[in-house]
Amino acid sequence: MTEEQNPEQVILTKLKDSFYNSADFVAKPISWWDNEVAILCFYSSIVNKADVERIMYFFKEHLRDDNMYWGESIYTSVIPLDEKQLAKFLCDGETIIVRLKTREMIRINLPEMAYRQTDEPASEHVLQGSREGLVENFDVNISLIRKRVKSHRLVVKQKTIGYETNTTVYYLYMEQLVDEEALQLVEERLDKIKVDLFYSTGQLTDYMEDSVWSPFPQLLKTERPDRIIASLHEGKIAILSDLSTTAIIGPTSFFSFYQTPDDFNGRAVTGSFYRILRIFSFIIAIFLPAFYIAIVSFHFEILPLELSNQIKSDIENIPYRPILEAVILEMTIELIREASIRLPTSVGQTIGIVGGLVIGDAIVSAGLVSNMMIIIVAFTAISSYVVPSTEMNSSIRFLRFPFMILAAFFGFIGIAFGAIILLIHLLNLTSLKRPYLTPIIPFNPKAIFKIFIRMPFFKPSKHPKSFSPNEDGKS
Amino acid sequence: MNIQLTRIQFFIIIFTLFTGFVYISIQTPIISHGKRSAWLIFIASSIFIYLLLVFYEKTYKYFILGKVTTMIYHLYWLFHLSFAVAYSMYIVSTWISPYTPKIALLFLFLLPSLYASLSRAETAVNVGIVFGIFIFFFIFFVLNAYEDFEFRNLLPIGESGWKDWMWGSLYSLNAYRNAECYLILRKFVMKDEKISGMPLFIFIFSLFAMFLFSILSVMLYFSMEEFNLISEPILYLLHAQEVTFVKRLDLIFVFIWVFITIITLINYILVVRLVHFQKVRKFAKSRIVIYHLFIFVIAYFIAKFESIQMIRQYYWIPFLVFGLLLPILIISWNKIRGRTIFDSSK
Amino acid sequence: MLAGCWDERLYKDHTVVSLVGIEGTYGEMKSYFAYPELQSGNSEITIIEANGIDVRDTRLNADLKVEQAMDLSMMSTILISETTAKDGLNKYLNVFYRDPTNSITAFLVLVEGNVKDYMEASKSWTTEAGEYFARFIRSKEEVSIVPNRTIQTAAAILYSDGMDLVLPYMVLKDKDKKRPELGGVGLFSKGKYTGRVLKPEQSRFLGLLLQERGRKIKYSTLYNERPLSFTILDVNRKWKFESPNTMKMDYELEVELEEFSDVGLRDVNKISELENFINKKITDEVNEVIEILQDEKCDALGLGNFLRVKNPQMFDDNWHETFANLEIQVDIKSEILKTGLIH
Repeated sequence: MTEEQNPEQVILTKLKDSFYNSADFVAKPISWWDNEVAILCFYSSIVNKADVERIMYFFKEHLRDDNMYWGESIYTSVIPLDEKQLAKFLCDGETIIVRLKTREMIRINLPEMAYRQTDEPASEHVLQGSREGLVENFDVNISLIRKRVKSHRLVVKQKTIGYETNTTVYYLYMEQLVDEEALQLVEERLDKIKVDLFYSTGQLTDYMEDSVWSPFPQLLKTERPDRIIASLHEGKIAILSDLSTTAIIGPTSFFSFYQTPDDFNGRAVTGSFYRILRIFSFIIAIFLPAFYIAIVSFHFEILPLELSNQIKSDIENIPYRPILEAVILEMTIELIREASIRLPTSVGQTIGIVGGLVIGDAIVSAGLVSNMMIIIVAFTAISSYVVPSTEMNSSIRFLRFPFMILAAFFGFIGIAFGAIILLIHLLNLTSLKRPYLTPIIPFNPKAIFKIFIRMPFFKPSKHPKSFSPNEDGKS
Repeated sequence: MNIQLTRIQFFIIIFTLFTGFVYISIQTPIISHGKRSAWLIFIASSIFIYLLLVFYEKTYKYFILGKVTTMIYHLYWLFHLSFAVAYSMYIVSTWISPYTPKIALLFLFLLPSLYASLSRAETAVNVGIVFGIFIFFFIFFVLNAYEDFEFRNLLPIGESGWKDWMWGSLYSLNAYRNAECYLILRKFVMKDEKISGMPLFIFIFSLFAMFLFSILSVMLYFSMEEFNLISEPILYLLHAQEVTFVKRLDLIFVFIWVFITIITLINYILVVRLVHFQKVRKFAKSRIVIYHLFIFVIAYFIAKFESIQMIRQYYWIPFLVFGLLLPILIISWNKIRGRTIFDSSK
Repeated sequence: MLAGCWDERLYKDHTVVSLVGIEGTYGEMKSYFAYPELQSGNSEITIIEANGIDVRDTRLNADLKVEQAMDLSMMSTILISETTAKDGLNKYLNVFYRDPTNSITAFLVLVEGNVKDYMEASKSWTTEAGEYFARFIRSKEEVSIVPNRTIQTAAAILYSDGMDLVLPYMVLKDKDKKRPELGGVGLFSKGKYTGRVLKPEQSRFLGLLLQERGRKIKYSTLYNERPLSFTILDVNRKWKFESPNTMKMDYELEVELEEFSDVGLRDVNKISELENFINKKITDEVNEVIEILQDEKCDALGLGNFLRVKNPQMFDDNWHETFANLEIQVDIKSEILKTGLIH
């Protein structure tokens, strides 16, 4: 034989070049039927090699291409050679056998990407009930959901986003139940995403939300499949991706951030009690420090005499204004929180104790901050962590700062001003063009009752009407 | 600009418009003029208002604002709103913030209203819901004074002469001074919502009950001669209450009342927008900003004790002119011509 | 940002006054303000004394003597000297009605002699000076000895033509002048203090006549030379005019025996005997009280308001004279409901 290159060698070099000689890229000639030469290529890092090998053996031994659909099976398919698509398939973790003679590609779709086992979601603990959480894998996630809704009306649609990353995003909804307008909106917005790199759900939310600059999350994020299916049955849409364990659910109302599966796993009466407690905690978490500041720096006459003497003796010798006092403490708490999230779990707890106890005690005996302020700030912090949703929780913790400043400037009037701005903002806010403050607005007395009271299961047989269109006036 | 209102939304807006500005100040003129039979006078006036609104409900379709009448109403509303803002500012500065400059308070009142008016119309429509929450607080707080109620203050009713009755009823009617808003907003209610009959009665009755409750409770609490001194009896009553956790209930109520005033302002400006932008659609945003600037300037100049006291003295006129005579004139004129709003919108 | 705002009143920079005393008349007023001064956790009551032409003026002058700004919003009691009260109460209280930061829920108390002594006495108490008096009044109100009158509820009466004010009256009798005691209630007529005081044992019958809800009246006497004590639990009253000049007041009392060292009341007939005794005893006491009220032209019962409703033509500016000459017939019927644990 001469040293003249075989056609397959040419193609091989070309292939390897076009994949920039990546270390995990494998392309090699193999012999196919009747001494025909074919080229096998795959990324060794993302392919389940053992299974591919078994399928190749099966193909070679048992199949011939004179039958119709000879190459079609669960994992495999045969399509004409197309170099552009080849790269895409390979990147998706497929193994491709290129038959030079017939110019066909045999695709073997057996990727093996790394993912975790399903686990209890760390940010959404429940006391009772399902402990399964989403993972970073399409098949596992959908199977977690499908096993809860055994209905063909559960529809999964998918979409690829990111020119470089080629990330798959998929959205789920229940046919016939889904809010059609919102669905259309989701599709439109997904189509509009034009980015090179797509790597986080945060990116996705920014594209999906109606007002990005609002401090309130307009889409519910969850890692719990049971929560997803509950939302799907209310006509909502869930968006998941392969990248993250977090699903985005919309359209959402403000109050759904305050509900947890625990309400429904527990008893109706206690469930209702804790629901009311959580709503109450929202008010405390936003207004309490501002209220206290307004009282001690503007309207102390509101205090009854006995209480006022306690407070007076407590704050008499504090060098700072109440607002500064509060900011010092709030900042300390935020720092402790931030530090304990970043640190490994075991150290994080230590930091919490050191920060909470030691700093708290020292700051009072040093006379920088009054005891009363510590009580107020600690109470507020606890209230803000009651919210089941981590996102809403950070929104609320952020919101109390503007209120504190307003209170320090104008007292009660400042708080009233802030509160009404907040109210108007909440009224303006929409989630996928549906009012955020349902069912308070549009006013629906029966549904309002449901916010506070968790009804027994046999009662709410109807789907909440909260998102039915045309209930609100249109301008 | 066009909106669709459900029955509840419509009633909430009207409720807010009727009670919002006047609720804390309406009692004094009624009682100091009507004397011991003030409550009876108020009941009589409310029956009149009910009949009037039943009439309006039947004839609202003839209420078409022409160029001149629109102008008149615009001027009246501008003045009315400025006065309401000035008065609220005056209350806030006497009750809680005596040293805060007028400009700062005006900003605090007008900025939220501007924000809401620049937002979607739904926002302004729905903002009144919060009102409901406050009513419960209010009733609870006022009933705290129960122990000091003197029921003999309500009698004898025979002491009031016809002059007392006349002035008492003029000021009582003033409680419903925004009756023209009913006519304006009525056509935006969805077609399939039933209003006449029972719903209207329940609505007027609840409005009347709110007012009567306030009048009765202050009459029971204060002696007749005190009304010559006290101009905001509800606030003063709360000022004199002390519960275990709060010593000054009036502060909380002023806080709530600021809320209510701003909401009323927002709703009122919604009405103004509805009338103004019915045909004009250009420069909507800048027009709203300019409107707020007008209110700002006028309110700044009338927010003085003297002017407020003087205007309050003559504030029985607006209802007679703008809530009663002018609408009836417009309605009968259009009835003769046979024009309704349904023709004119086409 | 931290410079504060126009209306800021930092609590730590304000001195909270809980007890105020006023004496003198316009032109030469004297006011006393008691507030706690905090020293390393302990509070000590300091008293500031100031002269001036009117109440507000004394307050301004007092402000010059305190390092922090004085604030009266927590005031829980005002002590008023007899001379001030005799001059008419309303005009001295005007400043409290007008200023929104002032408390109008403070109790009004009349004191005998120098107001200063009472202020000084507060130094020896562990409780807050103003709160001491407030508690004193509240506990005595429970047993109907004094009515509870705050600045506002007093104003409602002062401004009303058909009723007169009575205020708790304190005296300082003990040697070290440390423990003020209740001297009864001071009677007002047409807004001015008459100088007459009902003793506590009489003022409780004023409480009975006024029939305030939830109040108890305790009374002890001798029945056949044996002690008899009882509590009046509830009172039902019925007033009516028999003729233009005669007023009839029917009272039905529910009585619980507290002390009665007889053989017992097993015999049912004995109960009615006892009831008759109680009726007579109380009727005498009540008549005595009404006589004093009429002498002083003090319509503490609000008969004027009642008359105004029933007989409007009889009510006029001369009401106080009419009241003094009114014939008032009191009829008391008591019923023993309980006798305690034993018969």
